[in-house]
Amino acid sequence: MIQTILDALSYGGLYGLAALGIGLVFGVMRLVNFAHGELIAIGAYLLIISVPTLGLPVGIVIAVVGTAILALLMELGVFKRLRSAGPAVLLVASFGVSVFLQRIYEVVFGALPLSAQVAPWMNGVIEIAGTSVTRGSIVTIILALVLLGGMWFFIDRTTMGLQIRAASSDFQTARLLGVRSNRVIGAAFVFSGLLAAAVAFVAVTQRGSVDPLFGVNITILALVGTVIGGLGSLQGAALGGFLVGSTISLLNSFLGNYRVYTYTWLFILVIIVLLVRPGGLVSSKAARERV
Amino acid sequence: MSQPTLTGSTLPSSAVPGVTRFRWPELLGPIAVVIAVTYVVSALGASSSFLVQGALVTLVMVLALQVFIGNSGVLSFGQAAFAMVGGFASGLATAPVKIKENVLSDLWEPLKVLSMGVWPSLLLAVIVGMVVAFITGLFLMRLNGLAAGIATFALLMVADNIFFNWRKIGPGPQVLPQVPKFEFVDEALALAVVALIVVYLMGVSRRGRLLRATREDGLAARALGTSVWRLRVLFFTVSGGVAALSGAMYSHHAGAVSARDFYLGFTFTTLAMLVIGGVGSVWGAVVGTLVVAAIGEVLLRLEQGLQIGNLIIYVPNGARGVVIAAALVVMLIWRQQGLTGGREFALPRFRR
Amino acid sequence: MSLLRASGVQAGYGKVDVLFNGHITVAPGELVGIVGPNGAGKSTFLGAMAGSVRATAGSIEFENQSIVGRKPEDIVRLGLSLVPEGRAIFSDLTVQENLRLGLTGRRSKAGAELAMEDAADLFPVLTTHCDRMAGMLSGGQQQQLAIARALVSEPKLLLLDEPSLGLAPSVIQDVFSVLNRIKQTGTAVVVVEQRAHLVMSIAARTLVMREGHVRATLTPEDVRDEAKLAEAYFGTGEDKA
Repeated sequence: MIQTILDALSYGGLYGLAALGIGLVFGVMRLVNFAHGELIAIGAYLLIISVPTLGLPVGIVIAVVGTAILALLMELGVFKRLRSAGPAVLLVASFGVSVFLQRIYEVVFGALPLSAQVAPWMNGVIEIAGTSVTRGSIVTIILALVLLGGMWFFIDRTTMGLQIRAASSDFQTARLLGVRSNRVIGAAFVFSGLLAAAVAFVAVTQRGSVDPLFGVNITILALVGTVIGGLGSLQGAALGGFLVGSTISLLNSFLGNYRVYTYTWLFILVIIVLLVRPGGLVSSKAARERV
Repeated sequence: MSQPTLTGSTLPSSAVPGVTRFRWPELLGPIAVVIAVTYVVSALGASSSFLVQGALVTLVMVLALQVFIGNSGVLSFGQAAFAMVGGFASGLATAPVKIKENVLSDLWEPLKVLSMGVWPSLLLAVIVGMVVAFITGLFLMRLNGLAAGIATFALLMVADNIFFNWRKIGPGPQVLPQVPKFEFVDEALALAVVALIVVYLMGVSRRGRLLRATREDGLAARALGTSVWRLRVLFFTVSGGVAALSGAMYSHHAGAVSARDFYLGFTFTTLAMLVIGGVGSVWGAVVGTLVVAAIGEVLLRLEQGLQIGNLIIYVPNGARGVVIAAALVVMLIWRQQGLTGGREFALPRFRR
Repeated sequence: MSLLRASGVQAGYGKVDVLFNGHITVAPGELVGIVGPNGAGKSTFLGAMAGSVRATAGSIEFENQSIVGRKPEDIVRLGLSLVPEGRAIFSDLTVQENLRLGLTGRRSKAGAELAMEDAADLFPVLTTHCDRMAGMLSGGQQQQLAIARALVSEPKLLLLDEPSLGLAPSVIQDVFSVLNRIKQTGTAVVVVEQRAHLVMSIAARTLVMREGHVRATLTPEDVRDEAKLAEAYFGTGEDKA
């Protein structure tokens, strides 16, 4: 029972992080980055490749730096050149970048999964209140809390965070006040890369392997979370991701058979939210004008 | 910042690219090109003939995308769902009853005994596709821009989830085998030409022009309100029918059909073809399909190792996907209207 | 020496131009008005100056430097600040946060504290509400916030796009008296308004725009000349739009 709750919380935290990564970039750019999954994938690949030979701490650093670099490359190489494009073009472009990277991974790393034990201790158990629970779920919850807390602090208390919030609310006016558009967008991408790396760590320690399509499913579900929570609201994205993740975990634990149709219900919910309340559950005045 | 009123000024015609009125060359040109390519390539052999047939099936799908996205300016990821519906409808209606009884035991009884010829089954597929598109369109067409893109993506996810799992209405995770195949490439060619004509006529129609006008001016679209919604539902429905036709054609091309044939990969490839060729016109759909299919084939050969004289040229496995995806992104950055610039086929003009 | 000099400016949105021949000169410390009916291109003109709208032709020089095609975030750092139409405050941020954002465009970080204090002096209501969500303020308060936010970057030239829009008459009075005080501190001001009388009495010059062109330049004395006003606004022999 405790494990079930912990699982729900850890999945919730994981998807909260993933959804926040997507939400950050969406806020400043109106870009729903399908390629976010490929950021998660590169983090996973870097971990799988570097940890067995260089150890976990070095591996984590490499993964974090690598993911942030790829995120910046995406922005500088593609999305920067589409600044004046509408959200639909950006959507197709991100789809294109996503497939492009998936294929690159196939060429570079091969289509078959690569396996390695990144952090076997995550799958071990510890005793809490008389029951055994997996370390992984505890670590994930703690990691999610730390990162979400850190992001909250950054967004709410720092000057750059203020600029990001302003740019998310009204990009044009923010520029009129002197907010440097490229810097703000670049920062959003870098942070979304950091969040992706964290998601990669948790996911890859669980699964033990990585393949070119590693990030696809996580991104699709994280996207659901972002939309449900409200496009344009960072708290909404995190909350929406949390809800999606924890709900899926609970459904898996309790419903067994019927979980095959989970996606159907989730995506019907997405459609309903878009039709009825485009601002999502955490609606704000700014969000309503957006979509 | 308020938008100033445009009293007294009209949008210059160059502001609305693509088809404006019916011109014979614009229709006959693409048809001629498609027919020519089909027969020339088929003459190279049986496997080439099969390839061309596949390209024709894809062309119909790209046309389905064009008739909706090109005219309404609204992005849709959902057409693959209608292809799925059409493919299943036509496949189930023509697969031998014995096969259905043995392999797909959970199938709904009426679907098990359903049996008809290939051509009636195509019509069935189109009708079913249009009905499903109409019903979903009633809801989805209220949305604009990004919301529409995400909602239609959600539609695709729902369709995939349902068809992959619900064994009562389809083969579920299995493949539906033994679907009767097209004998010659002519059948697929004829259907492709029909699709071309339908899509072109929809584009040049008065309604098509009305819809395209809303594409340029979001405020005007909102002001027109229900009329835009109705137009979009109409074009979405037609798009669904053509997509269903493509799915049905696929089942008779491959001789089998499964849910995952019409999922993300298929959506991506057809969308890339349309964008690269040019979203705004039928000619764009044709050019995009031919160019991407050709490049794809060349790269496929190179992946397997192409021998030129004493030299064997190799590209790494998967390079094909990389090139096509890169081409899509580059086209969006460099020339959003695609290779054709959104213009229809035009005969070269001879000047003194 | 003119602070701002623009001529032949052409600009619009997408493929449609709205402004065809904008010209203006502003000397340091001057208050210039731009009036005219809806659709005249006034907002577009200000937008072209501030960099939020791209000028397709013409020249705009600020302190003898061309600023055509420069980004808005760079232009504000040169000393040209725009208060957009409809105030454009960030509703989901607090008053204090809105003001802090205004500091981003400062030419030098030194003096920021002083600038914030000066803004507080000009608009005491903002200090009272400094932790409230900006979206909760009344229209008049939001207008004051928008102006204060632009002022803390210590611009040499302040552009205002229809500050009276949606405000009650008494509030409008307050806003315009503030504009006068701003002018007296030596900051040049350009005010766009639909209602000429608001601006004409305090402006050194008022340009009248119609259909993308500057049709006339009026002086404070012309306020009483009804015929001249009407002609400039509506044009000879044309019906009221």
